Amino acid sequence: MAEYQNIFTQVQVKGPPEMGMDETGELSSERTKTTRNNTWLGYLGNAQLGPIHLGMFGVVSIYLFFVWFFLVGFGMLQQVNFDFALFIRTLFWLSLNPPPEEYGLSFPPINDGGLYMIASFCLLFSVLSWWIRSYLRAHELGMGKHICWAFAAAIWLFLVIGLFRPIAMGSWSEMVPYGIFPHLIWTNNLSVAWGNLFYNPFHALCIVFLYGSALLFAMHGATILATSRLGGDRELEQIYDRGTASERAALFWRWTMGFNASMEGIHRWAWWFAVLVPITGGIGILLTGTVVDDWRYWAIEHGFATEIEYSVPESTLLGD
Amino acid sequence: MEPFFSNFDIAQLSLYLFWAFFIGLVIYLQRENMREGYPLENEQSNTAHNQGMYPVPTPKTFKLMHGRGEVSVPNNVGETRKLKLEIKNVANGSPLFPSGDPMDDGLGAAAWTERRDVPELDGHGKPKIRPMSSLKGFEVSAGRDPRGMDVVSADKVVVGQVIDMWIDVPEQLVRYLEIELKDKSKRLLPMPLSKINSKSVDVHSLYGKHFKKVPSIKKPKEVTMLEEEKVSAYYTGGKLYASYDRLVSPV
Repeated sequence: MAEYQNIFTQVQVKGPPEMGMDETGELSSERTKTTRNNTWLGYLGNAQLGPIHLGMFGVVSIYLFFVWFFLVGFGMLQQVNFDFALFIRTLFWLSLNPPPEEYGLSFPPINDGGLYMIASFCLLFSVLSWWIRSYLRAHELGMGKHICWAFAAAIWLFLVIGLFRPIAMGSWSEMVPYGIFPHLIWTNNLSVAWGNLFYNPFHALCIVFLYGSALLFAMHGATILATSRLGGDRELEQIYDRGTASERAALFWRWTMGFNASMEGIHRWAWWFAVLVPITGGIGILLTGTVVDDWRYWAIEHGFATEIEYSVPESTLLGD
Repeated sequence: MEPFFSNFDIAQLSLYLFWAFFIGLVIYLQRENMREGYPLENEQSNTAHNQGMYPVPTPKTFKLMHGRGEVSVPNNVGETRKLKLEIKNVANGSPLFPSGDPMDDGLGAAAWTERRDVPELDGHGKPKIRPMSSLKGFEVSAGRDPRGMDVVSADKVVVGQVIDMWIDVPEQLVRYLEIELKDKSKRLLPMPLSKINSKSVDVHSLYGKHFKKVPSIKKPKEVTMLEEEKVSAYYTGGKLYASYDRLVSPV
């Protein structure tokens, strides 16, 4: 007889909706009034959906996002002469492209990258507006601002790619095309053009933190599920009044790998590893083409790549 | 040999600055994680000779809600209970052996911590976990309703019936099943340690003979954090000590 591992909720209960901490009634006046119950959500976690707060910055953000979305769609449709069948068939290859290099940092004609610039402007303010919303929500609930700063770390990478680096390079043509495959091709071309991004140490660090934070979150999630039978999932209470759940979690990792985090500290580890993904990535991109024009050569210069040329089977080469 | 600064550039500077930051970050993170379990002790509860390379952080204070005071960690309070453990070997790292029944004495896999003997509160200051029968407007919305089902132990003994579910009210989640044993006394069974099958609730952790010894709680409609510890730990203790077979082969 195997033990149930607490992956899905075995029996769900539904009661009066939980409206959270709203002693003054101010929060309730700014958000939707009703809640819904979703059984499928309930199998994984809490089944209650809502109430939802949108507010001015939320509305602005969603509005601008859709303007960007439809401008991109319009640009793509234009490329296929408004042939919808062709649009669907070639959707993954279509893109709205940034202006050509000759316009530099000036505003290009509307059908030669101008539409792209307007769309980008909408996306920029959509994202910034959502950040303000995340800040204000946390503030109104009396929370710390950790989520906003983590989101800001992601916005840093977004700004480096779409704003800071193009300005440093002196041309909006450095921005990323909006399309499914075109943005992947852009990523590959960026690497090829600047001497292979794999030799960029910040690119390496970015990957380390990406895998590292995924590993940390998987370890943490598994540890909490494993100790939920002792109340380990009520983490806040375990932080200030440590129970046997926390002690067993700590002991498990101490015996497994020689040291352990605490119930509070694991979240600091995971938060820092996660925010360092876009922070290091952003530094790496900002240096590419501005400070370093050939990462492989740079790596040879700085003693962590060799001048030995490795042969690559022709079938793996990109292009043609 | 080139002079050191000959190929120094902003990229290199950025990398070195990052390494310096990262070393500081790791030291900070490690010390933040030393608010529990430090300073280190040896098996005899004396201060260990080797305290590791990081200093213990200065205490930080949590201000608790609903007039429950403050908590500072690290607090240098070690184990204050007299535990029924035997030291059979003084070499560092040797295990301690329970001198009695580890399940009754709360040791090893049955170990519990001396948490506060008060119920956990929700944001509004009310006890979080309450019996469903005392709550208005709660219903089962999905899954199998275990109420009325037989509770079957690991050795296939029907030990009693499920009579109620104890609910974490703000989370709307079942935390415990309340079971009535054959002698009409009541016990709590942690939800994650029960498997609701079509006709019975199966408990892998305990044998039939153990259920009477599951710690009971003082108040009929309230459970304290200390009681939760003792109840849950008794069940998990059974995972290792319910029978001799489990002790020699836990799978």
